[in-house]
Amino acid sequence: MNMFAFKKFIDDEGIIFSYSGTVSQPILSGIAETIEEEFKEFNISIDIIQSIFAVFTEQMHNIMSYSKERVSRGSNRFESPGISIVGYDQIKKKYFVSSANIMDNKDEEKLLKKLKKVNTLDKQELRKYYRELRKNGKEKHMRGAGLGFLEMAKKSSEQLEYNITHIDAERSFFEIKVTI
Amino acid sequence: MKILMIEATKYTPMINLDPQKGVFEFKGKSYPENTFDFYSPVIDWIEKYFMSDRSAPTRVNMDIIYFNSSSSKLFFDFFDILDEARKNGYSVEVNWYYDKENESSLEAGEDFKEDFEELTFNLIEK
Repeated sequence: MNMFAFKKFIDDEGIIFSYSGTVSQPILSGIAETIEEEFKEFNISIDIIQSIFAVFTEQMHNIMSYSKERVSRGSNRFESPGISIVGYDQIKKKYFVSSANIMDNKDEEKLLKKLKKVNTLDKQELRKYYRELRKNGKEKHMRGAGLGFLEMAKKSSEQLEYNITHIDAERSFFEIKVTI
Repeated sequence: MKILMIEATKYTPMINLDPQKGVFEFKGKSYPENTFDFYSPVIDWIEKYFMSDRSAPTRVNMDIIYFNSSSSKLFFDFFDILDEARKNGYSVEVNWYYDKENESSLEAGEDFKEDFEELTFNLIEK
């Protein structure tokens, strides 16, 4: 692999930070704190830094949660469980936070339903729906409150962009991009 | 009951629950991996605390710079316990501290305040 070409690709895509591999809580907070400190030095507004921090954290927790479920069911643990990117779009003049992970095809329907619903809501409706779900706990599961995508949408200035690519009969590659 | 004190980490807040003073303190960031597991001893302690007779007021100081969505659910459930205690005649007051530059922290406080209309919930600028 040509690392110079890789670096050029990273720079051209406006990637400020990227990570691929197993995610742990110390890795998550180490990267999140570093991004926070670095962005403060560039005098980026606290609201934008907070939004990047929040979306990054939700996405990394999703990667951790999905990969743990998959490993515990005996799937290939050497497959990179997740990718995370924080970048700056030169054309839009906006920051973005993206992530990707392997998922089971059987979860596709539920996931798409959730994301489609979130994208129909405006800021006020998101705030209301978030509070509604927080109160009734309908989306609550073992590892979280099931509010992650809503949290991302609240911090986003555009709709959530997502895509699912089928790998085989059981697995898919899920990616999501949040523009701050 | 004994004091429950948990030191802060990068992703969990300092927690200090003092039964003699009737003061609960939360300070820092909250985004643990398994939020419900992390807070379960705290919730158990608080539920026990409200089982004993208590006439002095309980003051809750929340100074949380950042919290993730599952912590948000946890805090909701925590305020729900406080609201139940209030209904049972306990005197409870929550102080929610926010940074004026941090709009989402104020917004979060406003939403909790609205969710628990009868609970004394003060939004305090740092």
